[in-house]
Amino acid sequence: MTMGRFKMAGLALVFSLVGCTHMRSVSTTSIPAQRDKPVEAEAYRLIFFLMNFNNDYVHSLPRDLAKQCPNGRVEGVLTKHEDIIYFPLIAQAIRVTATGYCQTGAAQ
Amino acid sequence: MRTPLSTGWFGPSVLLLAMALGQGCAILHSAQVGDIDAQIVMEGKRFEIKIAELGVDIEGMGDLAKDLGKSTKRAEETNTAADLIQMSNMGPSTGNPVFRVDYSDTLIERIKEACPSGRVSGLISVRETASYGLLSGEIVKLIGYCAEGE
Amino acid sequence: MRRVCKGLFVLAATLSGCTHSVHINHTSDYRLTKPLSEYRVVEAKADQRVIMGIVTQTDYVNAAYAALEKTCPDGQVTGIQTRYSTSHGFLSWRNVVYMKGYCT
Repeated sequence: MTMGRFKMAGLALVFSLVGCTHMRSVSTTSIPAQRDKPVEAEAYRLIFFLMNFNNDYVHSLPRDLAKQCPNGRVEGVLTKHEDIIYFPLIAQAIRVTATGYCQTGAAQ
Repeated sequence: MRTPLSTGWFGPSVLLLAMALGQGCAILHSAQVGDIDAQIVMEGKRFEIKIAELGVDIEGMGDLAKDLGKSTKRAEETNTAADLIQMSNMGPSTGNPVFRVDYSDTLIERIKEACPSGRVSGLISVRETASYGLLSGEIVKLIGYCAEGE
Repeated sequence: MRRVCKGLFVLAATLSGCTHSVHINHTSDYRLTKPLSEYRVVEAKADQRVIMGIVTQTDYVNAAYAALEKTCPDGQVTGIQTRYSTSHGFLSWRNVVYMKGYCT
């Protein structure tokens, strides 16, 4: 009976951690006065059994932001790097989100 | 009466699995995106600068030395030596410790080589580890876009 | 046994401060008003000794920033590379912030 309760408690703990998100790092550049055009880009990698062989998925972030702000500048870039645990040791994810404000025309 | 399940095969299998899982794993510690000039990013030349240094898992090596020295006559001395070395290299670590602190200080010169005009934008600063068990590559990476011409 | 202990302490002392860890190496944006060749490289460094993890402030970061400003008193500093690292030691360590940039 004790073993059975222990197993149930362990299972409950495991399921309670589903989708648990932790911040790994955060940074920001200077925030502009004009903030009427927010832009956002995300890089996401799902990892199984902690196996991840490269971090190239983050390389697309600047181009993804630039595409949303043609002929402008993206300033006030907030970069958030998060770890998400779906099922401990089995399924996790890394998400890097970059958000900023598009400055165009006279504001540049 | 049930015969207890033999677990003799369990240890070596777990060790092999752990080694396999640890082979060449890439760990992202931080990624920071800078301001973006859309024209430079979309029309400029992409460059990537990667600087790596050998990292050593001192704690892991100490534990390994203790395990290997367990059944020998010098077990106590091995344990003491391993503990002393770990205490002598104490402090916060990102990835594994390295033996040179200034390995990434040439980044600014490398940017100038990659983009002599200095007109760079869309910079991503990445700090990552390529893990190979007790050894690792501690990597500082910078990706950016360069607009050529003064 | 005494010889062994002595030897081990000597070993620990010689290996003390052998390892380091680079936590972050960040490069800021480049805002150039002149060709890059007309800029000079400036740098500044500040550190903080921490014993057994007891520390109550991070003023060394501000000190590094102020020192960098002083190297370029009337000019603009751009393309700043910031390295935050720790040099490990015997029951203590040294946190270091090193900044390098272009001054005009």
